[in-house]
Amino acid sequence: MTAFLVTMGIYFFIDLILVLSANLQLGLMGMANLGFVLFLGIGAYAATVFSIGPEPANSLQQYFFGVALPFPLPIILAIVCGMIGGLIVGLVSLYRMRGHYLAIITLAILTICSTLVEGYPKFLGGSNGLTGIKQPLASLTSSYNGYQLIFLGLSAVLCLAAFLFCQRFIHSPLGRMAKAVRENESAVTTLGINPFRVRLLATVCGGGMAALSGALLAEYVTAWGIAPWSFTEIFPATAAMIIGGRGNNWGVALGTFMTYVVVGEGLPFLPGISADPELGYAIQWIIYGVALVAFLWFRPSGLLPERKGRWKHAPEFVPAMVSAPSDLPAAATIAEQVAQEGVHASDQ
Amino acid sequence: MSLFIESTGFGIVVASILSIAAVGFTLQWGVTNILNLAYVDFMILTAYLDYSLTQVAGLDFWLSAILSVLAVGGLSVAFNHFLIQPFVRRGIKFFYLLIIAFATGTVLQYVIQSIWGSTFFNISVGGNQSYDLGGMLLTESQLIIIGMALVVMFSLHMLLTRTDFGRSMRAVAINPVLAQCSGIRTAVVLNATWFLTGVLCGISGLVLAFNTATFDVNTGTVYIAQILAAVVLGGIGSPYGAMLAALIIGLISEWASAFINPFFNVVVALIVLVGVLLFRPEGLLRSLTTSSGGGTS
Repeated sequence: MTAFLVTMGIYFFIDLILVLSANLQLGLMGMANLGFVLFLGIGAYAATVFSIGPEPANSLQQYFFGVALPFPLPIILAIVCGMIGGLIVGLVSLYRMRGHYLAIITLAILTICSTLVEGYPKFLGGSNGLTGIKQPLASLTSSYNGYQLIFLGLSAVLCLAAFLFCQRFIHSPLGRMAKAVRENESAVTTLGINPFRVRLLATVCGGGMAALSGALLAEYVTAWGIAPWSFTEIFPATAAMIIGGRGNNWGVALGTFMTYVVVGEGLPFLPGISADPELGYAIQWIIYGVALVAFLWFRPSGLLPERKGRWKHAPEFVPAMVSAPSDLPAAATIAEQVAQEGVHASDQ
Repeated sequence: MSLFIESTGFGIVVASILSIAAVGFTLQWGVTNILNLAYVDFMILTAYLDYSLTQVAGLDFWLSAILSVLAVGGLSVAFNHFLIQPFVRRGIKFFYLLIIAFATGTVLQYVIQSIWGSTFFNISVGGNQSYDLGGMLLTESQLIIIGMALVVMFSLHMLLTRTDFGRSMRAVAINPVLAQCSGIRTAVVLNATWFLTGVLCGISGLVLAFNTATFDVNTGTVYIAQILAAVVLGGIGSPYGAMLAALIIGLISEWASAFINPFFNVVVALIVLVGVLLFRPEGLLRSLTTSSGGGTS
């Protein structure tokens, strides 16, 4: 039971990093990046190539390059590769694309990359994938359960770092700017903000975090291939984001827990489903889809909605301005109203 | 040289399938302004319905084909009327509409998988004897597919240009409010458009399943990229552009897979797509349905 909980915790942290990075792009910025899983794959392949060591002479699997770097380097290099990938995709697509066109071009870039990897088995293992990926910190302990705990700690620390990064990103002037770009691009442009730069920054950061998630996933499972790299994998992440509350990191964490842990891991325990894993998988995805549409209809802002920014000192400040004359009830009423509601800061 | 002519033959077959799918997709997108990612799942649903009607219920081949295509047309209308339109009346953003279509497609795909299972199925038309047409070796079934595509394209052309429905559809695409003021019942026209595009989607799903040896739930998912390539290359909302673009995409992807690498058929189509999006986003031909050449916001 403990082992099961530990495994579930590891998956929760890995998935949470992915959903947080999806939230930066799809939630905070409202960019329809359908090829988002590309960065997950980049991170996983980079972590693999930088940790697996050179290709053995007579091995069944083929790949290029391949070095065995010590622990933190493969993960760091994976993040860097993901950020470079985000930069390239952003420069190609974001400058001129909006809306539907952005969705199509990102989907196209993802499909080109995954088909190229599949079509050239000598490049990164092709459709057979790569196995035998070295696990980080494996030398610390020899027992299986001990290592699970170490990996749980590693993923928890990295996930916490990603969470804090997202909190800083969203609750900063940059985050307010990002929300403003999402809500009204033309208005933001008139204020002298370049929407392209904000979008590019979100893509680069989101790419790095998704790559971190992919690197951890590949190193935990010790195998990676084409199958978990299809564009439909963005769907559970989107469902988690919208169910939890897009733009709100705590909401995203709750949504990840609800979708990946409660539905994803709890469903197989139901009688009748446990016998047929394939049916259970299908039902899991059907639940994601139905829940997503239901949430969009009944509660579009999610379980924990994105909070509007408030000006905290408004109550003390505003009544002082319209202090004295009692023969101005209208002004006083307005001031009270303003004081009660608080002054909405620039972000909506 | 013979390889070139042979792959040209296959390219024409692929283009026939792609043209039916792309024309339906482009009309849907141009008139309703929704990027319907569930399209390919409706396509593959038709193949499953046809399989059940012929193999399980034992109906006549053409009867079951027509029934399954009409059923998918009806489902397409239901999708619009009960899911898309209520959300549109609320003024939902395009991003959420994209997600809803994506969710519908995913649900449909896994419903199909839980009903029919994830094994491979096979439906076919005509025989397998091949005919030599100037070096192009085409089977009877492939000739039937090309014939069906030609019939569909011709009837669609007549429908769009010679009937009131076609004209009102174009009017709704250009300016829904003005169309409503002119006495066009836009809700009816929208539903009729979804039915028409659903029927086109169904036919393309059938011919896709005829052409591939076997199909399963993922056969459609792989196909969305090529449909999008043809739609964008042709210009969104432009049926004739989509036909031309389907021919171009079909031919070059078959040539690429014959001469470079079998996996390159998708890659070349997508490189064309990215190039078109970057350098000529309005597509090859000016849109028939909208004056500005693109039906997207």
